[in-house]
Amino acid sequence: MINKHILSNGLCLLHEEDNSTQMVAVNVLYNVGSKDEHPDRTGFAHLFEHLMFGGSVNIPDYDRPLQDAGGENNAWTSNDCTNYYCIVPKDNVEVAFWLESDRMLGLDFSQQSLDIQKSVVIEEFKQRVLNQPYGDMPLLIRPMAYKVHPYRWATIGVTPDHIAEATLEEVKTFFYKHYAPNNAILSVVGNISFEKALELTEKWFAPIEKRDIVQLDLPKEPEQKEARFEEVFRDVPQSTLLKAYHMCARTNEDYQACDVLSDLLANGRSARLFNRLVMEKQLFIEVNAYITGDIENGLFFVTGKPVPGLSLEDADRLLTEELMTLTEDLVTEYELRKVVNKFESGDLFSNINYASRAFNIAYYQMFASAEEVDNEVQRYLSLTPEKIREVASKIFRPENCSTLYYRSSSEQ
Amino acid sequence: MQASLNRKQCPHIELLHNIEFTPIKPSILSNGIELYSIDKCDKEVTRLDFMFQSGKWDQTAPLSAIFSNTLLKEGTQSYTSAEIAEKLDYYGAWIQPSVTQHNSYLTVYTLNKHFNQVIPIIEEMIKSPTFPEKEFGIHCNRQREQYMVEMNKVQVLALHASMEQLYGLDHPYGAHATLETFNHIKLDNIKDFYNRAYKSSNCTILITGKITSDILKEVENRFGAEAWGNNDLSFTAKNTLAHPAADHYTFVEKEDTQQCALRIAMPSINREHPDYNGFRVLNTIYGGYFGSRLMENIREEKGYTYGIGSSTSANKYGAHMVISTQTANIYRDAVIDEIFKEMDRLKIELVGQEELLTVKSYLMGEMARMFDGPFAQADAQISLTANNLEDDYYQKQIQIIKNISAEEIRDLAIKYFVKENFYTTIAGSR
Repeated sequence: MINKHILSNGLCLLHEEDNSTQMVAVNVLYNVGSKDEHPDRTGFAHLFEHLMFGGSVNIPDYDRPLQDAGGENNAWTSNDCTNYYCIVPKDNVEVAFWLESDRMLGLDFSQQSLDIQKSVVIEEFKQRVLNQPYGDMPLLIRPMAYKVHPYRWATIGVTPDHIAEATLEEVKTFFYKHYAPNNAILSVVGNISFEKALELTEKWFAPIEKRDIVQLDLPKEPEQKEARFEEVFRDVPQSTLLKAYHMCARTNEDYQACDVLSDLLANGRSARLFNRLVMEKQLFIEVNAYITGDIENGLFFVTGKPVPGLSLEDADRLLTEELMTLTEDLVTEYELRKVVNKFESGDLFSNINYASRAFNIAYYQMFASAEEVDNEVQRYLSLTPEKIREVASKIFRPENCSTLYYRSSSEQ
Repeated sequence: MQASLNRKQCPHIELLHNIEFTPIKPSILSNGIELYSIDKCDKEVTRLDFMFQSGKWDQTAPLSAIFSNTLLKEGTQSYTSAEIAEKLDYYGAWIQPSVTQHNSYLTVYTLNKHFNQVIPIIEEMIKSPTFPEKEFGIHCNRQREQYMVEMNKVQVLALHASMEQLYGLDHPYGAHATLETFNHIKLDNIKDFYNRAYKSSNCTILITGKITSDILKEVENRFGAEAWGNNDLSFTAKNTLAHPAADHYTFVEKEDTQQCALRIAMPSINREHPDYNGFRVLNTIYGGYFGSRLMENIREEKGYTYGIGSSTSANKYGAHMVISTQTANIYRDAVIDEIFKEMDRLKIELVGQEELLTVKSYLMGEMARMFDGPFAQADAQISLTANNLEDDYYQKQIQIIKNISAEEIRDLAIKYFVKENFYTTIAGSR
């Protein structure tokens, strides 16, 4: 059972007891992501995540005490949020409250720490994006699909130059603008009672003062009116293509239908694109369809890498045909049931582990309410073939699509 | 209230003194299969692990271990590849095939309510796969194309070259596929591997989740009643020796890379060696966790890399230690210097008591998480079985973590961190 308590400074505590583990997950989700960045300082929210480990006002070293307590931790950043978590043995859970509350209170900003982490993040940029085959595809497709909304850049940023140019003053401003008890969700799941979790939260987090959080009025992406197309040549072995269709926001009533559409197309070996285009017709090496799941209006991606000899133009036509089928014909009750069953199973497995449960409930709290996490399956179960076709027709329109041909330079 | 809160002071830390891990006693099924049952989950799910004690080491043709494993799902006596996929997807079950040097696995995840529909399909995949020509061809083409992508990654190029240096290409641990391998693999090789590996006398089963007596009975009836597979067929024993390269430096050139991948490795000791667990502690201090010497120096003080780590890898017929990272070309020489400097420091200076305590606590925490929850316990048990380890292996490891001294760690560093024994591999632009 999920317990919830809002502190007077606005911090939301979520708790769930799970005595099948000897551990406790302490997860802090901040409602800040790359969508909150200035267009000239992309990658900043992620750089900031690194700085959160560089020492806080009262604790010079974040990692060491946690390791002394036998714990582990990590963090990640997305378009919408920045998530930090610690996993600690139950007897040492207070160490996690101490550490997380101090870095919410304030960071020990230093030029040296900033310079080093800028360098680390630039190496990360190369390691994950620039130096990987096909690694820059997300960097290319986003600005095609979004012209004004900050989802037009990826979390890692537009270029390492933006990271290199970040100043200490900007770091400080960013912290006080976004990091605050009233812009965070603390989620505690594991071998701990609600009374204990509440007591520790009051003790360590309640004294932190509320801050002025200005909710950014993000520019609304105008409706795309015509098909967009770009092609690039890269030193990769095979050509591939990526299509991005605009879709609804996470809270929209069409969201689950979008997710089901992507599962019908590409979740599992029996899904349409894989079964038909890879196994039956043997025209593709890889196919995929997935949604970004962003809080605001997101993207529905379809991607395919044709077998040698099949052109990207033909591959594009074949993929589009599959999408069009979904706008014309109703899926059978059986096929719909299949992907919903798969969702149900994945959902159950992903909520078993206390650490993923801690994040899941925090995430639902951010865009809706924590309890909704357990109602999600019901939303999928109530979908009908008509609804699926209706949503497919809204999305899979040529003028709603950006297409990227990522060609192997051997074709040039 | 606020005045009494001392934020400078870390709350009291309870040291982890002992870790509860009761080795699971397997039941022996009628056909001799050992069945481990971990019934500790409150959700209605089951994970089944089928483990066969044959892997890449045993194969006579390259890729046959991994291909036979992946192709189990591509057709059986009663189901086509598409039907298997359709049914597993419909019941929300999924499978994970995997192969190591000495073992092959098939792991199944399913909801309990669909267990009875899923298990007959799994039974056929294991006992009567047909390895159809068409699916084999598709798989082979896709793997070849994927291989070509992998060959564009500096970290993969460095990995291949480094393993080749340590063991030699004719040793299974040092061998790797080439583009040619994909043109030569034959279905007969795959069937032959299957026939020798997938049989009841070579199989161990783990069942984890909320286990009812009906589920247990199903598993026993289908897999434990009679002997199955070609139990009189087996692999020819190999005793290939490692042939480490004469040259301790390899450069794999790839044009226009933004970073190079670096691996510095040496032949090392096995789990049976009395120094093994102490050496693991030394490796942890050196490069085995986030607060390690390598991370502190090369990432956190200098910003040369996103990450650097060292690890030990112990297999039946050989072991090695490897330091691995990716870094910009301009930092490369400096990184190599620092890697050896940090080794020297451990040979000269004693590790401080505070740092030693941190590492011990970190390792004890890691052990505690290793046995926490039913699925983690299954993994720990698989590791024991896969490496033929005694039931008290983890307890012995804990004793060494708790008792090792700074002097012992320094002595191990002197004994093992010998610069001349290391092989340096770089992949990237010159």
